Amino acid sequence: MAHARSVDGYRPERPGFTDLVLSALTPFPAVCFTLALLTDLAYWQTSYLMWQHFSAWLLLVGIVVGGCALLVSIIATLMHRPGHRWSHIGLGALVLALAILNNLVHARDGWTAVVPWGLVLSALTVLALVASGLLRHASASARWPS
Amino acid sequence: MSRTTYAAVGALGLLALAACDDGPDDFDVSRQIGPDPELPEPRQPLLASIKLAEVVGWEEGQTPIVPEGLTVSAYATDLATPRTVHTLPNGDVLVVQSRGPSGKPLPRPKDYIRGWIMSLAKGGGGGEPPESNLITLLRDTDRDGTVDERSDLLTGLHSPFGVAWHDGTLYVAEADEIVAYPYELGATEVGGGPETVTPLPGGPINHHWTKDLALGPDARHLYVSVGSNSNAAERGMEAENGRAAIWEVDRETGASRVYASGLRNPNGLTFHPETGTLWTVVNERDELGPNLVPDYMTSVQDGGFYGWPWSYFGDHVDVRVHPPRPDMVAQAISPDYALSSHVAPLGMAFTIGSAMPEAFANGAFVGEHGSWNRTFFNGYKVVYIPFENGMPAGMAEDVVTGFIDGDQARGRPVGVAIDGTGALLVADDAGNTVWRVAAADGSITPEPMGSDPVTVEAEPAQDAAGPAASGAETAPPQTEIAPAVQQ
Repeated sequence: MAHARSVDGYRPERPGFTDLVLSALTPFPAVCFTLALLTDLAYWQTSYLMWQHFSAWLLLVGIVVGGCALLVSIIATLMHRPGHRWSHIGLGALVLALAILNNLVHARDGWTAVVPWGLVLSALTVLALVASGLLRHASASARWPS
Repeated sequence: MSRTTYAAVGALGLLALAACDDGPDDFDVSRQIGPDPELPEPRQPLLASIKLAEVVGWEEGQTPIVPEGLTVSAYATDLATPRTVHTLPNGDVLVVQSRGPSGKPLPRPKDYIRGWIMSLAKGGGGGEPPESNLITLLRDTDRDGTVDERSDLLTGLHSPFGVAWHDGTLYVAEADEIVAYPYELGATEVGGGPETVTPLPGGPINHHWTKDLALGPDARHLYVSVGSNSNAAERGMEAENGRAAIWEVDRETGASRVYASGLRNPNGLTFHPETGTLWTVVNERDELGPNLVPDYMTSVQDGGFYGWPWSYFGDHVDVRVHPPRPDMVAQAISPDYALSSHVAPLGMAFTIGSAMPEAFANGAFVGEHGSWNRTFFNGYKVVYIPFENGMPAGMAEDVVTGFIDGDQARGRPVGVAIDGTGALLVADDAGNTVWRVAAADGSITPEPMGSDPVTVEAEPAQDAAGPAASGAETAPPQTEIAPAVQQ
């Protein structure tokens, strides 16, 4: 993370307010969407509806907080804060779009809320999350070569 | 990288649009009316199609529309969500008014959104709604088709729906039990009570809470409908014990058993006056597309299983229910007569022996509360289905319409009954009115006829103490209940 490096003195300026807000918000979608994949797998294996309910709530929380994070990112990019790029926002938006689609699928009743499309979308969301993380890491490394 | 991202977002957008497309809604709904409905492939659009009518109520002088040969008038107004009408053997009419129980647990985000959307359709102007959950007695002493005396017989009930009367006892099916009151015909108040006849599956979920009631022709048993706790078992089968069924309850002892099961939300229980067969109208499941699943009217076989939740109309499997139960699907009986999808039938009454004109002399009226899960309104009317030899024979015909005006609802029909003069009564829960539809020539029956005609008097029960003494300790053996959920 950008501001983590700043304490080591690599960064020329202190982390901005938007960076602090983002560091608080971005874990939510990452954790929620990853857990949603796990609870989907649990439902697939057990047919126990509690897991499907978990998935639906995890997706909702991830979408709401992730949406806030995306909004802050857009503002930061418009303000030309260092470390913010439109490509990050594009991937973030893709993650959210997948999760929203997934939440609609999860609003179905019973088995087809998860199998197969809910499960597929949960896996794609996590893949997009990983890609988004790698991209941020790559661009951060490019700015601060160790 | 970013170009790929944008392409992916675009593709997803298109996918979402494609999934939302409900298809051209030019399906002829009449192809789903009758014994052999056309059943399209199930579809699960990402966003369920929803069209709700805002309730605006009736203005002074406005009435529903009836065909030539019939005349319509307001029998009783200023009621508090009237759901069912029941005619006692002396011609007095009971109007059951109720609101659903509250406090249902909402396990999913969807349940909150649905609750909010449904609340939009309640409407009815501002202000505190009048106190409901009561039974009002209407008396037409001179049999001229207008109410001469009106009194509230029972108040403060727990979401009542069905009523039945026999031999000095009034039975009321509340949301979680059948209760009995001593009541003599002609009185304007009950003589005591209530005593529990039998507990029924109730809260905290109680999704389909309307318990309808009919007295068997032998006057020994009561038949009570218990709707499912979910659309398609999405709250788990453990929530469905004893539900999606019609119970047979011994009037004297309260002993009960499941008479028929696999009926998602049965209402309008009524016995055919000639064959003595039990009939019901059933609300089938939602969210499989605008033209699935047709609601239906059917005769009810003792021990019959009608598919819910695993299948509909015989062996049409609902893949949402997991694990699948091919053994149950193989047993599923296909119902007698489809009414088309999402019309929400809630009331049914046979016309044999009524004073309706010849065109409506042998058949059944069905009250259709109206749809939400499709992009045009279906239902919101009372239809007539002709019968021959105790079975439906012919196309349903609109009888009482005009409840919908553009995108607004003046009223919504629920329960129907033949009144003490042989005319049709329609409970309108959104318009807070009971409508009377009579032959235009003014003909009436020579004698009043009750909603539950008793044809064969059963042997008197051995227990002389009667239902008042049996009470709650005679709860139904739970192992006897709901063969649908035996594993």
